[in-house]
Amino acid sequence: MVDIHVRRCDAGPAMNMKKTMMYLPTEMHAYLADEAERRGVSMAEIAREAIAEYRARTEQVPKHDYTAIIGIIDDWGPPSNDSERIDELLDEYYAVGGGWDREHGFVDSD
Amino acid sequence: MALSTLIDSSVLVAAANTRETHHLEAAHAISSLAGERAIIPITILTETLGFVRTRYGLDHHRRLWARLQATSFEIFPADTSLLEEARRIDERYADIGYGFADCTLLASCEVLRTARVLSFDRRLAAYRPSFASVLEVMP
Repeated sequence: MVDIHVRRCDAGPAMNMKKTMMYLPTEMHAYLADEAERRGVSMAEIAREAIAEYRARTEQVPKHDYTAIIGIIDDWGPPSNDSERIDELLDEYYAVGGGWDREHGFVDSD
Repeated sequence: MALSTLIDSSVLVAAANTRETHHLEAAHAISSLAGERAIIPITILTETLGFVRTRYGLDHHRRLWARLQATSFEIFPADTSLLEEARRIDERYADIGYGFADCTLLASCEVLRTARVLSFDRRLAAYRPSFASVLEVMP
């Protein structure tokens, strides 16, 4: 086992980082050192990337949290009342000559 | 036993879209369901996702779809008996003209014995459930 200090020399407390230490198997440490050398970055940088990737892969929206849908449509523009006109807007979209026809090339080009 | 609430497209769209005039109201209503059963009939899910695709594009459609499935909203299926109940509702309330999605939403209320709906469509309040005195339409 080899211990590794995960910190950045060019970053300190002002970057909101904390120093930590971990033990890595010798082979993993060698890989990390080689990869850091190859990419020209610090070993800590790769460790941070790996942790971020792991977090993104494993972090799931908690069950029973219905709020996960709130605000996910970032549709810039003026205020709208689409939610009150869903039937009407769908009718317009599927009407002859409407959005569906236009998207599928059914509108007469004359 | 946890309270059950059925969710309509209008509230899903308003909660998802920040520029909707009812966004905050819908977001608060959705948030208040924590710990309760929140049920979306499959027909309402279809209507919602179809609307979002046509109005806001495929990317938003996919994001909403993924989020809805990642959370614990229950998707209530539509079988032949539910569609028959929906048609009976359509005939009984022909003067209102609820339409297919709303009728299946109301039929889902009957099947699930749930008299609470989140919707901005006030016409739903005209419906009289067979198992309750009124249909509570919120927010």
